[in-house]
Amino acid sequence: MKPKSYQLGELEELVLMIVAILNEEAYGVKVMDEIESQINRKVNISAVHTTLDRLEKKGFVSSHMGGASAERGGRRKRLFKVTAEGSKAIEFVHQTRNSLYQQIPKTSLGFVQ
Amino acid sequence: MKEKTPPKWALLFLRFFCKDHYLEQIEGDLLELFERNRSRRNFAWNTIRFFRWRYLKGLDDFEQLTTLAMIKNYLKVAIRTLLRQKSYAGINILGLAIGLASCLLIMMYVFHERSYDHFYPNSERIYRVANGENGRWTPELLAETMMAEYPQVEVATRISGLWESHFKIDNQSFFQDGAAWADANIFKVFGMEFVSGNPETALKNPEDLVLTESLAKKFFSNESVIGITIVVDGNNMKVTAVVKDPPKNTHFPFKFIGRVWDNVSANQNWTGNNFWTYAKIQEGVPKEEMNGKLVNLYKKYVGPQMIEFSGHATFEELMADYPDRFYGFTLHPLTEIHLENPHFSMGARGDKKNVIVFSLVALFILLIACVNYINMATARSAIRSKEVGIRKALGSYRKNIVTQFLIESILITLIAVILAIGISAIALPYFNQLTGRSFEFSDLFSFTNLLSIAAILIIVGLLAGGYPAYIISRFSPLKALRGQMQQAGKKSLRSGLVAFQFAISIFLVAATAVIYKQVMFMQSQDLGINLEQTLVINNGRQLGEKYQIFKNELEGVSDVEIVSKSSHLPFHGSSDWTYQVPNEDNRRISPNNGFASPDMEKVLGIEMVKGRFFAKNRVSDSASVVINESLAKELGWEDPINKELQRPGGQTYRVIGVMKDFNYTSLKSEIKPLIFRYGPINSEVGMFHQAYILAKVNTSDILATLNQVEQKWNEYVPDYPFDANFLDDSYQKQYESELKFGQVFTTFSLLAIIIAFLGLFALTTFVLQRRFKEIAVRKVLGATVPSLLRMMIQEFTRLVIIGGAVGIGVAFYWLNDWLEGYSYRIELSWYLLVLPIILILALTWVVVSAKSYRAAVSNPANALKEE
Repeated sequence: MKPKSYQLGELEELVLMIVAILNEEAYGVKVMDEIESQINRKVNISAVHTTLDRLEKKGFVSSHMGGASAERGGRRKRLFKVTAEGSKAIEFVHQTRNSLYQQIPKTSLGFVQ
Repeated sequence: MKEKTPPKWALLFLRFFCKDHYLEQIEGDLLELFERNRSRRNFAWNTIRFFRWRYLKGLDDFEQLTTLAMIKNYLKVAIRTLLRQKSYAGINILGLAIGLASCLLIMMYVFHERSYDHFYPNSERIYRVANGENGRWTPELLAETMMAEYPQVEVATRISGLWESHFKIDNQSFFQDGAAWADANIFKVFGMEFVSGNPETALKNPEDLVLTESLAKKFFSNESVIGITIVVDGNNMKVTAVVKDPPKNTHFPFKFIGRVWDNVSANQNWTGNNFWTYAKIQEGVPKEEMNGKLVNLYKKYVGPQMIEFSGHATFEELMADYPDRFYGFTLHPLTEIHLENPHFSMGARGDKKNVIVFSLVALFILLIACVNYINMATARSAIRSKEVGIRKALGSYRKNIVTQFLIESILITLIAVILAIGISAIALPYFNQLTGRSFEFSDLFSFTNLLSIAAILIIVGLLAGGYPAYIISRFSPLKALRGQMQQAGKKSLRSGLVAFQFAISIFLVAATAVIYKQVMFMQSQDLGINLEQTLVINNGRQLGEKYQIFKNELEGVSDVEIVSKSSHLPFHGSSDWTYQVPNEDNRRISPNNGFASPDMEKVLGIEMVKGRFFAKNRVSDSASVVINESLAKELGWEDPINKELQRPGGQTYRVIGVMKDFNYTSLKSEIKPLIFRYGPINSEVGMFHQAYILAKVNTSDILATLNQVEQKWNEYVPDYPFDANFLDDSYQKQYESELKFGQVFTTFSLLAIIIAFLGLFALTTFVLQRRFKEIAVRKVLGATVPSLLRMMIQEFTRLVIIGGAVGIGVAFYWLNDWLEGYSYRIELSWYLLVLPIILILALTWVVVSAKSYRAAVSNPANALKEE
């Protein structure tokens, strides 16, 4: 049987991995901070929310409302975690990227450097 | 320092648009970010970035869920029902769309007709001043005298127009229409908008000229036109200003304004009426008050000059002698000119009768379309009875069912409206031809039109959907679910509605027939003169003294038989001149007066009853006149030859001949008394007697002949363009309004009939469906196909005859009234009124029997095998 193919946007892929890294502690601002600190890229908070929402609709992450904190003016966080389907998607992405990377002739990479 | 808080409006905005589901997490994250740098601007920006489709509140966030779900369900069921019954829905929607399209176009027309001249600033205070009660022409001094005498008159102006002027720009020479000649106050009265130039100085000097924007663009494309010299009617004129073009809905569609001439002011002449007068009255002054003042003004200025002519001692005596005349001036509101006083208009003339008839026809068509809908919807309601039964069993109130069917009918109307807009757009060019207006595609979507579309949508939706909804919602769920047939409304009502449709159709057909018959009658009347192959050359006075040579040259052209000249053209109206009979106590008459030349007898084919027409080279004929039979009759002269007529205070003329009556004005009116005088030698009227050159031609190649005549004209009048037309064309033109009226009736009665028969077709189908088994049983018991057809036809025949009686009754009454307006008219014969009934009856039979035939010949076993 042909393995299932996962279609993820570039930002979706990034956010999905960060959610996995943060391990049940992921919510909007935290994900945004993490993207900035890990790969030095500024993303607007609304874009992060949209991506998380999209991932949830696709079934790669699930969420529940977490605890409130004073700095959030008493508002609760929505905490995300990766679902089984999400883990498969990460695995798939990793595999395909790796396999593609392996096939690049060493000469052409050297040429780029 | 003030504690910094996030901007309140941003939070409120977020709460306003954001779905509740997302609100808390978003607010939390935004606040958390705000705590970091406390930048209000960042907070606001981030909030706005959340304004995305996915977070926006949807319909289900506002409405109660059940209501919304039900409406969704109603729409879904409605669409499914329509799709399941495609031909029924198609006929229904098409009929409604045609009705709505005619209604839309006509409403647009009616609104347009009623909008005339409302666009002028303070249009409610602007009046046209009529001489007497509604005379068009007023004295030159009226405008300025009104302003000087009465402070209530804010400003007044006099206009002469609209004429055609001869323009010369560079080396191009042409006629330009839309010429108005006025004083500078015209800009104040009408509040015209200036593109360039100054309203205060624009018409200061006699050579000043004001162009409209479009004319300036046409002549000089993009140049600045101020200061350019144009030769108008031979005078050098200088452009001083450019004004905005008047919109389409004006009675005064000028293209340029020149400074009006002052030729009689010096004489203080109040009896020569040569101008239109307009006045703007101060706010709050009723026109009746002004009319009273104008009566005094008339008495003060016009009175004394009138008695000089009449020979009365005082104005009061004159008034007592002619008590049925009105001595004064009358204000008529500007905005009423188009429909109430179209004779004041300088452009398109409105017709109140047309507007009323159009509106009624639109209403009729819409009614027919609605009746169709009601009929078909109630007739087919049986099909929906199970659905209604289930809905009721599941807890629907009657109210809900009514709502459902109203929503359905509004949906159908909506589809029909969209289709109707498409149909109107396609029909627009034809409609323009019909109405003589120039509507554009964008006019269909004007504000008033959109408003009326919305109104129609709701009214028709509720009107047509109301009754079926009432009937259907009454169904008993028990019967419905047991599969019993339910009475789908009263049959008598349905029959009544069909009869009503027939009545309207038959009325329209009868009216069309009679209108056409009348127009054809008028066109085929023996006029007493011969108009065929008669070429009219306008601007004959440009020839001046060269007329005689021109005439001889023209008669030398092979296709031209004979040439004459005339002061007037038949059917273009002529003026009344006063004559008196010197031997009979100076008895006065006012016949139409024209100037003729000897050859006119042959050109127009005038027949003489007594005496002779003017003769060539007979000097004494300049003191002779020729009269027509009507005038002889009015004068009561058995033998008019050699009797004398005199112009008051002028020359005496001897009658040399009596012409057989021929129609000189229009068949809409009786033949009027007419007097012809001999043109050439008379100096009293200048070149007036040679306004038109009439040439009898005998040619099959009209263009070639026209070319030859034009060449001759250019030889003699090189600097004035040739302008000619054929007399029978201009004769036909006077029946244009009747012809158009007839076309309107034909078009809309055709539409009405199509819609009515679409309905009849659908109704027959339905009746057959219901009586399917009955027909089969009858057949089994021995009924023949013709007898079955007869049975089906009988019912509709009865309805046609009932409807026809009503329709013909109304048509007879109305058409009699309409024909009263014509002096030469047809009699309303019985066949004109019975024929429409027969026509509609025949059509009904064709539709019904064609539809019934299949059911009648089909094998009864097919219908009876089930159950």
